[in-house]
Amino acid sequence: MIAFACFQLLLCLLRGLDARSWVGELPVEDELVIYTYDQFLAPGALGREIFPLFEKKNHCHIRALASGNGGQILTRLQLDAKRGKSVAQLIVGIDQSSWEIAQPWTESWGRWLPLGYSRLIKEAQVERGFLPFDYGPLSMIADREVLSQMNLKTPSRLSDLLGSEWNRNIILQDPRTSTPGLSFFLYTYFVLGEGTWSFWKQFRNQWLTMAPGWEGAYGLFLKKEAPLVWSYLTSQAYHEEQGEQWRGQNRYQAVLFQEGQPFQLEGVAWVKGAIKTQRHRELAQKFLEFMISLEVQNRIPNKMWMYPVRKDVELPASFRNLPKPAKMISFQSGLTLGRVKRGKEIETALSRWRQVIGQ
Amino acid sequence: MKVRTESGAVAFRNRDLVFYLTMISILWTVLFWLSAVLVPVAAVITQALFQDSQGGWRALLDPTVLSVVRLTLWQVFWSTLWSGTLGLLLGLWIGSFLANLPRSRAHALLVVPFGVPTSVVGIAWVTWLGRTGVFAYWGFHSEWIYSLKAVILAHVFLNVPWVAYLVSQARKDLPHSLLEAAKTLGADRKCQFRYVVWPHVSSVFWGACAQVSSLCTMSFSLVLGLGGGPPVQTLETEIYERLRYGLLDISGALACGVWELALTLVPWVLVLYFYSKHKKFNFNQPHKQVRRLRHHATLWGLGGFFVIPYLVIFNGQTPATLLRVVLDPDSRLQVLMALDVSVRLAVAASLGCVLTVVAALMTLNWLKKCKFKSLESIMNLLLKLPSGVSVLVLGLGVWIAYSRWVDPFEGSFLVVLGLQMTLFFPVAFRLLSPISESHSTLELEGAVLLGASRFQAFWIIEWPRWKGPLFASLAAVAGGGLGEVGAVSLFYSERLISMPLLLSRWMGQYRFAEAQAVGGLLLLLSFALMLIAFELGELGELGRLVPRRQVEVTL
Repeated sequence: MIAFACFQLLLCLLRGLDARSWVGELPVEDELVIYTYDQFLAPGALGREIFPLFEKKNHCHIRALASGNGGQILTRLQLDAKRGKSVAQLIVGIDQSSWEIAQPWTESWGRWLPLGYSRLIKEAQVERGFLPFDYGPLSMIADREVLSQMNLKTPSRLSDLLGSEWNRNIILQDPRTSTPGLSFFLYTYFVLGEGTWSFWKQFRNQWLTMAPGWEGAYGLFLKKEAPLVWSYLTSQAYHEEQGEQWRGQNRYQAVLFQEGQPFQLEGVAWVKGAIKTQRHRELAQKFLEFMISLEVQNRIPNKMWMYPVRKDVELPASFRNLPKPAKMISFQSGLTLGRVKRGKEIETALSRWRQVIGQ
Repeated sequence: MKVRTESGAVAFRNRDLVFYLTMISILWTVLFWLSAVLVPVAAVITQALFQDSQGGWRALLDPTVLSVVRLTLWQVFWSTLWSGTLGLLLGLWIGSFLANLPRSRAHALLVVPFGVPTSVVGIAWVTWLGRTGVFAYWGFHSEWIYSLKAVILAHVFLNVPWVAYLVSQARKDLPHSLLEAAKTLGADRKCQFRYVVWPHVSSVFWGACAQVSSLCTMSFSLVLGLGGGPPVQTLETEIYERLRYGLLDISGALACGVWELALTLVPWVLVLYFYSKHKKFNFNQPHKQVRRLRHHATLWGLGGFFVIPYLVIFNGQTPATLLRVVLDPDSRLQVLMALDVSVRLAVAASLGCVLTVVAALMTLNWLKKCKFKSLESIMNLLLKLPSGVSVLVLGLGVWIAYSRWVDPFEGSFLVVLGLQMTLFFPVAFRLLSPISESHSTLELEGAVLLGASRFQAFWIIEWPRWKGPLFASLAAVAGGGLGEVGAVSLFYSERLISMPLLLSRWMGQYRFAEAQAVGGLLLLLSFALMLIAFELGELGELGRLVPRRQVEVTL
């Protein structure tokens, strides 16, 4: 009896400690559960500003679950699918390459199209199931001050990065965890073809660090740990707006390669099997329309520091001053297999990359 | 007649209570060990070898996994070699004059680095070695940061004082008369070392090396923070990445988990073997009260040398930054939430861990009383097993075994708590088991015969012996729990961010100054708890009743 009572007491205590973390909180009718990356919900970020607007408009509640970075959202989706327990109905913040991998766990819209879809730029009208809300070319960003201190000239093609002068002078992101990191890897995979593996074999001693996420990598760059970082072309616009100058010109400069620049589409997708009721479907549809509405799109340049996907949004001057890439590279056309197998091809390529790096 | 009946009833009630308490303890110990150790470890092994459809045995020999195993071994080899060599030399030197000091607080400084939260260690070494760090500012440019060298350096700095501490304790206990006898017989310094000192300290030294190699294999956040990502990948970071990073790869994580188990359990067996071989001298040596001031100063200097690198996170701007954090509502909220999580975890883990250890000791006593000798020694060995299992492997096991109930991305305080309790169980167990082994049955029975209740007898006779080590264990586990990263990293969520995780998150958001300031707070808390643990363990009854070295070796 005493033993039983003690056990009950212990259970109650433990439940009390963990009251908020029992699994299996099913979404209520008016609640939209969203997986997103940490930065989207950081103080002052877009998520914190637009979610309350959507809640107010649609008399619902958004439960946004920050799930680390882009790669971690994929893991979470995969784990949910394995357990047969979908927690979120929507994913916000995956890019087109991650979406290729995530396709088995995402849901197509079928015949339905969000209001305003025709106003998107052509590149953003990818497929019914992935709705981009912003985009941006990716490029190396150089710190002119550090470059000048180290007597270095900016590289102009991928192979320049293999030069000894760049040894431990580049900061990258891990392609397994970070969407810009994955874009850089796919960029080399697309541009160099079979030469990808020999490139990475030589390149693996060149970077100072391969950070798990963009934030960490860029933070080190701003601390002057290295003169080059893989980032977004629009980072230059951000620094221009901040007034960061060096000898009368922008201190941070986007470096364009002759091979062209990859671009990242950041978007929203529905989680397969998670939208079960009519009310949820209605909210999920409204959310997609909301993300490409002018209300959100006008906020993209100054909140996300990315290009809005709508053609009719006026851009700030700092965006208009950005250099134009010689070529925009789309991975979708570059990958060799058919649509369904593209995700698998990326996974296989990443697995080979891991072997090359580990050797 | 009436009196006898009443006392008989009281005695019966006491026996009844003790019986129930013992039964609950046995049940709790068995449940704890099964659910927190056996089930997760068995889940990792069986899933990896027999049930995993994507690879099984083949996954273990996957070239990527093998390259990670190679790098892990390489890192462990160099970390242990440097830590062992430097620690041995330092320990022998300290031990040679430690016999002249009855007790020195400065000696505690050698243990303190062990309590520094690894996230703080990471920040400190980045501050020293970074290209814009302190060394670069002084004009010494090195390319060590974000490389294997940085990881090894951090490991060496953490482990040298620990090896030195253990070796110095063993050297200190060596009777001076033995050395004098050797000298009289014509032995020179080399011969004295070879035939007198080395045989006495060798088992402790090899045990310490095995312990260091096991700890370096389990090192997670230092490799993550100082290694700079691929290609510096060890088994620990690989497990973490295959679970928490993109492309969930449970099969690969399991293969790494099995390798990790092999690499940590072998040193664990060696540690037990070497420490059991260590001979104890149970007589007091006269203290020579000579040159104590110089020795104290040397100890303070040496201890300080291994602590100072971490103090670099304090700088002139720390108070202003802390004030800025306090004044900014968002930062304040984040710090308070993280502090709340960390303190709740530390308190719950220390209480849970110590209670579980007490239950385990009651179980062992019961087995001893019932004369189940072999069962008692098996149980004793099994209870120490968590020392040889990395928290990430345990976490992986929990992930696999309890995935129906546990969603790692939703975060689970309970799971983190369970993992931390398991992780620190051996620490508290080794602190408390000597007290339990030397309990005074005769005095207790005498007190009961004289009319005291069991509780009164315990309070008067046993409690004074227990309280020091008990509080020391509580402080040690709380200190460890405050800075623990592995369990929290695996099962955190937005509402379950602890202080070490907040630090790494702020580092990622370029909030270096704030991260350093908050890291400073964490460091001070950990130092304080570590010193309390040492003071209580040393000054409490523990130090008087149990040979001091025996307790300290197992700390």
